[in-house]
Amino acid sequence: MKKHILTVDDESEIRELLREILTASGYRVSGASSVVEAMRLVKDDPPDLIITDLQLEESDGFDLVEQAKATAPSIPIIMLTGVLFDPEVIRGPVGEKIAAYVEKTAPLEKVISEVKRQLPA
Amino acid sequence: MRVSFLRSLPVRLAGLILLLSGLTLLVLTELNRRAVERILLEQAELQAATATTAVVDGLDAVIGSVERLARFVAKDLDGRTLPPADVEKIARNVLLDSPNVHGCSISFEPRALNAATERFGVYVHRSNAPSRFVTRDLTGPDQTYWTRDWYREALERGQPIWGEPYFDQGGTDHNVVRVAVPFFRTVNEDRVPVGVVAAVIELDWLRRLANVNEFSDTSYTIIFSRSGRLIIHPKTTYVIAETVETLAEKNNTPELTTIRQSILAKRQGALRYSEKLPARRVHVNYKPTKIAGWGVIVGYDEAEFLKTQQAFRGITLAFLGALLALLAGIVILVTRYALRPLGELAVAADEIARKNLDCEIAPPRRDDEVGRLTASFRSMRDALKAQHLERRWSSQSIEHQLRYNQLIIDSVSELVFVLTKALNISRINPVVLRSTGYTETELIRSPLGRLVRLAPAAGEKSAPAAETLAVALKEGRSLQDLPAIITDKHGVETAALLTLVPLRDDNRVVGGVATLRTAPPKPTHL
Repeated sequence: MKKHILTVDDESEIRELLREILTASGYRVSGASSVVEAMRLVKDDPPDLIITDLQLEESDGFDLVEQAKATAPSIPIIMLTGVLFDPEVIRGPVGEKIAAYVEKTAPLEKVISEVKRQLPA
Repeated sequence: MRVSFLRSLPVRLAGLILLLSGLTLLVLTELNRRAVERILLEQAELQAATATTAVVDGLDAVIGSVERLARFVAKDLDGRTLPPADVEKIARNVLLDSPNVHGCSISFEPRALNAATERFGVYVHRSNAPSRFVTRDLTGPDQTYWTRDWYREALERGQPIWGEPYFDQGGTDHNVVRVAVPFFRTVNEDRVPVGVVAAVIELDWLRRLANVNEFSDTSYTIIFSRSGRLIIHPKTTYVIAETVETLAEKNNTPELTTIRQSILAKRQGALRYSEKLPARRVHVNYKPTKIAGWGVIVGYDEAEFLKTQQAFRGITLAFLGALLALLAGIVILVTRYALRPLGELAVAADEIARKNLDCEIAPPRRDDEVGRLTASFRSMRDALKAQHLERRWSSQSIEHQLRYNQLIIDSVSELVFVLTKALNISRINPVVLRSTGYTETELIRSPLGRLVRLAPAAGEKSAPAAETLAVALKEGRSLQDLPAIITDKHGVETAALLTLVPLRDDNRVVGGVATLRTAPPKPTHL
């Protein structure tokens, strides 16, 4: 059974790119552009992994992390964002509730590598 | 681009294989045909030679026995004096004793039979009449045997003479041939010919005898006399009427003349030649008879002996054609099966060239070169797809970052100018447009000095030198809160504080960012 990944980003092209690469890597992929939509999917079709951007429609990734952890604390979350955090920040307040932080400027290969690390076969 | 069926590799390969196979099989078939043809013709020639010998031997046996009988009668008459009735009886007994003889005549020179009889000649021949034999007087006005060549020649030569075939008009009324043997009487110690015994053989009977030795449907026998006149011929109208020479001329077959010359020279042999009517290729064996000096030709149509072979050849060619067609089908099917993935790969390559990296390439089903090529194509497509995704990801990432940065710049309330090292404006934020009234087109590539100049600092009378900013950029230094004057599009001047920060790329100054902060507007009290 394929593992389920939920990608959350307000930009549809990012979601589409992630869907393509993750599907090609053997995962089942769902997409959401807002926290509300993402949380509905978390409840209806719990994912094995959430990949979220920081900038989301009507809210942000921090909010999603809070809500998702409250609902399903075991689901690992990768924050994939163009907002470049300082490493100290990652180790501190942001890093406490997310499994990994990947910059959007990183190559896709790194994204996939991080996904595989979070979802070992 | 699809390759047409006729120009496809399977069809070309099938064509080449068929061509080579067809040529090889045709050559083998032709060689086999020639070998079989030679064997068949050799067998036919052997049969013809055997038949020729059999006909000649049969003829020699028959006409030899007839000649010996005539000799015997002639010898018996030698020196005897007989009454006419006894002479007739002797002739009749010849017919009774020998079924080969159709007629027998005994003729005398004047007063040779007896002194009272001037001439005497009697001819007894077979008949269909109830009495079986008919006797004719050869001294009659329509006979006068003493004037006939056969009689005179036999007497003059004093030996048996085989005459030319003739139609026995008024006698047997058949085509016949005659042997004439003289008989003698001793007068004054000299042997004097005094008469002739002649035996007549019917040609139809000879023909039946010759036909016994026919060995095929088209085999035939020709017998001709010493002078070349036809005695036996398949066309009965030629018998007696034609000679070998006239026949050779009529049928344009000079080979017949050659044969006759060989017969005269007592040689036997074989010849092959073409006849025009009917058009056919004939083979003949010829041989002279030992008695009478006749010639015998036994011939046959070669086509008859090759008929079976030709039928077999037709079957062989049909089988060959069917075999080649089957072979072509198999070659095309096998080759198409082997090369089909190549066509699919070509289509996939075209799709990839059209930037369709989602094109379908079926997994390889075979572990051969084509299968490995298919696997390589799939790997190439996947690698290109990954590379393409990576590039799209990078593009969006850069675009996102740029947009994000622009949003940040645009949100700044101060006037922001991005400058080249020559202090030309390369980028501005919206506040610049709103504050100065210029459009972006008017400002980009314009010198900063067009709308900003440095002002004297507090307590100073003169403004810093115009090249202050350029020097700072060149040295990579920042300038903080320098008094400056902004002149808008309408000439209105506004005081501001200018901060200049150099832009670095790997520690190399590539430009600078100038921000101008104006005094905040005075609060409005409602």
